[in-house]
Amino acid sequence: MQISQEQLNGIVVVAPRGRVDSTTAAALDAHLTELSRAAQPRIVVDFGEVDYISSAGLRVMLTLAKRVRDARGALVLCSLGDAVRQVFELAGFLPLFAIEGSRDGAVRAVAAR
Amino acid sequence: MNQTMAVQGTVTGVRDAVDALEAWSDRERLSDAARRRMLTALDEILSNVVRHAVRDETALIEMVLSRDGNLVQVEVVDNALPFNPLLVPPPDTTSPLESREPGGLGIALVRALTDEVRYERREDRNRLTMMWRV
Repeated sequence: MQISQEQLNGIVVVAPRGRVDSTTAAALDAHLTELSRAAQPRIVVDFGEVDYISSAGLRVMLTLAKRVRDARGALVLCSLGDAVRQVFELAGFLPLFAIEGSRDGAVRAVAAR
Repeated sequence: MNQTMAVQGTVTGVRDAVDALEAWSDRERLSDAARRRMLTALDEILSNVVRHAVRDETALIEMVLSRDGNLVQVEVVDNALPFNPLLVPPPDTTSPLESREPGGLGIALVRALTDEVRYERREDRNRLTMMWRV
């Protein structure tokens, strides 16, 4: 897994690429935890280049959601492929996250909060 | 073609096994959807074995990949203490964020992402077999 990142008007867009599973979740967790330490973090996680996500990755997203909420920030996910969306759905995670179809849509959604 | 490999009970070992399954599924020309289901389920099972079952350096984990027509099978064998992951209670998938705990999700995903999954304790080994019709 690789992680790319860009900043757009104070919004951080994080795009993991490849597998988000037990072998890569720690690296993603470290990256996102650092970002969530900001005052009122505003984060988009773009799943467009994620091959698949396993429960280890879901745990990272759950932790991130709690941290961002506690810091009164904003978190929006986007571009979930079929495999990723199916895992979110099976885990009952879809209602826990704001999810947009595209990165642009996600950035707009965070900006609107 | 069938393939057997020994897997170290470490993060690196899990990565090697997932890499091997990915290469095998490419050779077998499985669909992306099938490949992703298999890799996700394998990650769940192996990370579970590493986390719960592997206690010492004599741990043995083996992965057997096989195909019979349109039936593909991934078997994970380990010599750790008896542990049937299929008896793990189902996770909470409905409560709000505050009270959501991530436990049990992995096995629930394995059940959902496989066409059949079996556990057997035989010859002092845990044997977890996942099957897919492709």
